[in-house]
Amino acid sequence: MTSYIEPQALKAIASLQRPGKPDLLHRIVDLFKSESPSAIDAIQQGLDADDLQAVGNAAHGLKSSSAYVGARLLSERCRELEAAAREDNHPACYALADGVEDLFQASVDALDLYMTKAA
Amino acid sequence: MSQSSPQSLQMVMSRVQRERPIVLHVDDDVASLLMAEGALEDAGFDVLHAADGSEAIDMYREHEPDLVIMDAVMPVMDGFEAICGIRQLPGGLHVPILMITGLEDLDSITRAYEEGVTDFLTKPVNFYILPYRVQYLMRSKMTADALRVSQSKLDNAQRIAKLGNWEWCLSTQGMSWSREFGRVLGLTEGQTVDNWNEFLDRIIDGDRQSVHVMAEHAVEEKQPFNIEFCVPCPHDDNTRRIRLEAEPYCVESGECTHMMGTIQDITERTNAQKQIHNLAYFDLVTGLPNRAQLNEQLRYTLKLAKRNQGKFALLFLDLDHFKQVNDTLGHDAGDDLLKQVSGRLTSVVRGGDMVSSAAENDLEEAESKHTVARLGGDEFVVLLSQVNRAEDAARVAERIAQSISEPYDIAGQNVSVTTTIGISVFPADGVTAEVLMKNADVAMYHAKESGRNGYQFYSRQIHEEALARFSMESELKSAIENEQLTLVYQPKVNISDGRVSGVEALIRWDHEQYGTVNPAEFIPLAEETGLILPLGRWVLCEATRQMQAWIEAGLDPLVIAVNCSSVQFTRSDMITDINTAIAYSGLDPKLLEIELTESLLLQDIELGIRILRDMKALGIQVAIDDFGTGFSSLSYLKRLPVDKLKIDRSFVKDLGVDAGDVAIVSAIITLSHNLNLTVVAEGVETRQQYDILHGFACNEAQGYLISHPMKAAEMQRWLVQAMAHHDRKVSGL
Repeated sequence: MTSYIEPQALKAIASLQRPGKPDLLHRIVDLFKSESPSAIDAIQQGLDADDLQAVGNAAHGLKSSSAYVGARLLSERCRELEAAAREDNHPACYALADGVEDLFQASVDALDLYMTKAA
Repeated sequence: MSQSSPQSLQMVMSRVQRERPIVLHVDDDVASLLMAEGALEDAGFDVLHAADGSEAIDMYREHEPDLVIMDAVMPVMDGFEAICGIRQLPGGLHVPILMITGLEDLDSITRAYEEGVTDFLTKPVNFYILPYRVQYLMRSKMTADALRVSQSKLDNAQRIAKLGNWEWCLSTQGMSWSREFGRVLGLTEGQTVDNWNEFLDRIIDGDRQSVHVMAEHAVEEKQPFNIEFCVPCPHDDNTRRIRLEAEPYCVESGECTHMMGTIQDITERTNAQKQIHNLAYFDLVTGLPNRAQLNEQLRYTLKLAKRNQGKFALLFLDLDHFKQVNDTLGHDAGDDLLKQVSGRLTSVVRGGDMVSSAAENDLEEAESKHTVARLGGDEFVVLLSQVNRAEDAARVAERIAQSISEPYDIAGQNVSVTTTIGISVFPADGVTAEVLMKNADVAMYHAKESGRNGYQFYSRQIHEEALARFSMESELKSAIENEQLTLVYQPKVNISDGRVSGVEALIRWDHEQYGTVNPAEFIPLAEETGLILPLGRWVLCEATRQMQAWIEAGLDPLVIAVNCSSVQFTRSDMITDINTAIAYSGLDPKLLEIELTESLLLQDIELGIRILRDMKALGIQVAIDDFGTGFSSLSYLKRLPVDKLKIDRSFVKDLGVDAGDVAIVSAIITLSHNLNLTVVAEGVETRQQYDILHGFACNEAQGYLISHPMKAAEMQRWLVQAMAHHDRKVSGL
């Protein structure tokens, strides 16, 4: 089974939790789920507008935020997309961007599952 | 002294350390901010967030955080630009900046480092480790701050102390130094001292060599050293006084690799010391040395005189009726008078011929040590640190009395004062400073009793002797000027045939009161006073003139011998004098003979030889007078270009009585003949002496047996007779 989420990353976030403070892992995961779609939109809009720099910047952000929550495959895809965008490689950008949405969705599903189990 | 600007001090003061240091975290990724926040707060930091570079700069300006964590790629303004901006803010130059960047982007790492990033963290960030990294950076920043503060304190300390430090590498000769070093040396902006030689070049000419030598020695001996020297001041013509301290730095093997040291500007300190010294040792009104300084000088002079068996004199003087000036014209006028009197005293004591001029070379040295001091009130003391004779002091006293009594212009008024002077002389009048001062004072009161405006020696005997010599000196002077001196002549004969061989000119002083004064009495006086120089010239001219006159009167040409004093020989231009005499008289130079004593020649053998050669070049003859009384250095004798030896009368006297003298005379004659010298025996008084000398083949004889010295007219008659007699003998009449 393909692992969209690496639990160690989430455990690492949980380890940063301080007593009496809002649940950090929930906030990070919620942030990931709420903020990522706009990055994905930005990638799409960038492609539509033929603005590869915008594509790269959006991919760069998503690369980091997905890495923190352990979404390794998504992060890896974003890294490749960012690199392609910086190299101004249009065909690669199109190919790599196609599937970011799916990878995001699969990662969110895996996260939800993990959080349910953790609760 | 205090030129420390508030700004430079501000650099020294570190900002008060916050209890919880502030970390500014700049990232557009909220999740990153959240994750880092917890860890950093747990580690004791307060955390501020900014979402892009532009916001980061604003936050920095507002909060002055202690550390910045900066993401590289952000919207609006990226991390690089933000770092550049922060570094230009006040206090932003040294704040640690931790940049978070992807491992893959090597170009951005290089660029960030160039913008002044302190350290890097790679993505994905391990937020667990982050606080430790931040703590480490904080610590190293504090260390760097402390170092900067310390450096700055050191700079300030050096600047306040005007002290710079330096290192001199002995293998490369290169020098490194602190900022203050440059200021102390007076380096202007952009000037450097890169090596030891360039450093030496900054030192004034008179001091450079001693610093150089001292440093070389210290390096060789591996010893610390210190020295003071001057450098030119860049702003004016003055110099700055600098003290240098240095120590060798040696490695374990013992090899000395560096000299390390400091230089300090001690100009102000030296000036202050001088000022303190002046206040303590000089009189404020007149600027003359005060009693303390005089006492010190007196102790020193005393020590020197005891060691060298020298003489010195103390002149104690006050102004007659000074109180009246003070009372009638006021104290300012009184002070003005004291100042003018000091000026005159000083110029009299500095003035030329007051000390015996026999030893002119010592004169300047001696003069510089004479002291004019003001004891207080109207009392002054003149310390003549070297006098040869009591009358030297008398002469100074006389000149002081004369100079002081000239009228003064005090605030437009014509004022006259006189002075009375008491003199004590070491060692006759005391051998301690106290006794000499007391006796000079006593002498002054005696002088006052016997009428003011005069001087008096403490010792009556010295007083009278000084006066007597003093008057003889002035009489001798006028005798020379008025040509009251005469020459007498004593003939010499060839022992082999009895013919007259020459005439020696001798000086006589026919004094109106004392009768004939013996040369032994007045020649030393003439030598001491320098009167011998005009006297010697006169003798040369007169003797040559007389011989030429005799020749022109029909006498056979004879050699005329003239004595020369050591003072003439060393201090005057003998050669010129001889030339002048020959030119004026028209005498054939080979008829002139100069008699010199051997001790005179041996004073400076090289100089002696040089002058003798010059004399020989004129064609005149040279005889050594009184031979046998000095060291009679035979080894030098053969080097001296002389024609004649005159055996001293003391050897001739006992010929026929003392076997030893016979041997000496015989030896001198043999030796002289071996050196091709003519020998003259002086003081021949008996037939027996004459015969013995004849037996030794001595060339010439002079003495009462032949004739007493005679005046010119008598000598001329004697010569006419002697020549006629001889001619008769030769022609068989």
